[in-house]
Amino acid sequence: MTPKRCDVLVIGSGMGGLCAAALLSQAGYHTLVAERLPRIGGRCSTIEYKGFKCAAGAIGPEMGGLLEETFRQVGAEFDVRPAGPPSYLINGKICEVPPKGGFRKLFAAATSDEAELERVMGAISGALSWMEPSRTTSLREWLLQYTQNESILSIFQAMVSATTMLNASELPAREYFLFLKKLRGYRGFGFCPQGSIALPRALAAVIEKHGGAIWTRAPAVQIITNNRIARGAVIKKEGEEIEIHASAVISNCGPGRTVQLVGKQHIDQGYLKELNTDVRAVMLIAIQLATDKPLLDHNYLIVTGARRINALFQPTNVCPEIAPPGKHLLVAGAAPASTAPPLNARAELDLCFQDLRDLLPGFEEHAEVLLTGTFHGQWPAMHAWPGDDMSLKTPIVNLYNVGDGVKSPGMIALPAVAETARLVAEDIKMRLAPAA
Amino acid sequence: MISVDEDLCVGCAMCVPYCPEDAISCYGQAHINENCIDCLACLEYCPVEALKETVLEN
Ligand SMILES: Cc1cc2nc3c(=O)[nH]c(=O)nc-3n(C[C@H](O)[C@H](O)[C@H](O)COP(=O)(O)OP(=O)(O)OC[C@H]3O[C@@H](n4cnc5c(N)ncnc54)[C@H](O)[C@@H]3O)c2cc1C
Ligand code: SF4
Ligand code: SF4
Repeated sequence: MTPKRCDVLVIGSGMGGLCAAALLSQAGYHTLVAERLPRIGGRCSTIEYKGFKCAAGAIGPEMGGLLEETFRQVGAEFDVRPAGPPSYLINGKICEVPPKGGFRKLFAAATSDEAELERVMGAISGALSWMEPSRTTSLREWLLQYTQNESILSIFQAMVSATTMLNASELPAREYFLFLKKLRGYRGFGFCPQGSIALPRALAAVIEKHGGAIWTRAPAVQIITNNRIARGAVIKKEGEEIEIHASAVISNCGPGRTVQLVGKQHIDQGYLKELNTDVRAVMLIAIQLATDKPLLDHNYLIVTGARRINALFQPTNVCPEIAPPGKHLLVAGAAPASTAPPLNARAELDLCFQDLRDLLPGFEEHAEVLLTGTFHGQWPAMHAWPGDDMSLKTPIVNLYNVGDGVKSPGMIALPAVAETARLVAEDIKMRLAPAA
Repeated sequence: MISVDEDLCVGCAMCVPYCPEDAISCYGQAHINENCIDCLACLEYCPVEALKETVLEN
């Protein structure tokens, strides 16, 4: 088959790939997105199951940040309804968090020792207003300098594992404070009434409106390089291998897979070493339940002090469209004890289900388990731990990575992914002109 | 017949809803039970290519 040509070839239709493709096609670049799966969105998508719009990954996109800004910029509909602020479960009691002074209120629910509270508050305000702590200490180690109070420590554990998806004993303290500054602790997010797939669909519509194309069931099997310059890729479609030539190639399939598609022999040794030693996938457990009555009074509850569950979401409170009439979808999130492989999935899941029985009165009678998912390895919560990401550029000229393996410090999940797409799109606009 | 490559399967359960026969259960890894009619509908939905069609030789 004769080679085809486009300006920009995007491998993968995750939110990283689609944000980049939407920005570039709007700027006049002829863009092709090739996706391996039959469905777009990658880990921000929706699977219809038993009448529910189940989450295939992300359930709560950030509102008011870089993701929404990207949608506004390209003219894509951002169909997200605010979830409202989180509530916390601390020592068996619900604690609501005000927009300002949240930390103080949370710690006051955990300790009556005024001096201890001031010590922790002082340390936090120093880290926020003066200097972040070192990246060599974990958040837990950093906290232990100021408090030994297990209730306070478990507030942080739940808060960071529910948002950054790493345990407090794993997350570098520096990353946590950068995250608080850049993403305000991920307080402003929402749920999609049509499921998270509404977001990739809206971007796909923009790409097609500007003359771009999105192929599904179309895996890239090789990235073509010549003298360390990217020339395009081989895409498999309907049993045929099609050579696509492009001025720039954007890979959305994670930095590890990108290297495999290029072939290790073409990649700089130092880059490979970094990839092999520094980049670890973030693990996550997500359990989706169908219930015949609301088992939770809250839209979003951060659970402290449980065995594994760190957050409960009931998106149907604000988006009843997600479930059949009269039913609710409840999603429980958990971080395994250690994000270092191997994952003892069954043992971790057993602990999650023990938690669910304790946390949700009526679990046995009113809940049906829809999907029990563990996310790690090649289909993780994020391709790299916050702070350990690879660069957007690869050692191959005009080959970029986007997505959650190339985040900038302090950024996590969807807003981080949108940022990678924006930076790559800017770089391409500066360096390469679209073909007339 | 269809089989799960245990070295690849991450247990994400993304394949489960696509089975018309409720033949896939997932608890840490996917497991195919005797309801499977080999329709192959699940195959292309696995994001890590852990579902494989194995050809039995006779
Ligand atoms: C269970 C779960 C819950 C989450 N919850 C949230 C949340 O509430 N809020 C939030 O902001 N984030 C959340 N996240 C994180 C968020 O989903 C991800 O960070 C984000 O979706 C990743 O986007 P991406 O573009 O980097 O990659 P992906 O979404 O993984 O996209 C990559 C795409 O590339 C395709 N691909 C791979 N190889 C090839 C190939 N060779 N050829 C063609 N295509 C290929 C894949 O099929 C995929 O579609 C969650 C993640 C998980 C797993
Ligand atoms: S082959 Fe068909 S019946 Fe068998 S597990 Fe897959 S989808 Fe289900
Ligand atoms: S989709 Fe693939 S990785 Fe996920 S549970 Fe099914 S077989 Fe395993």
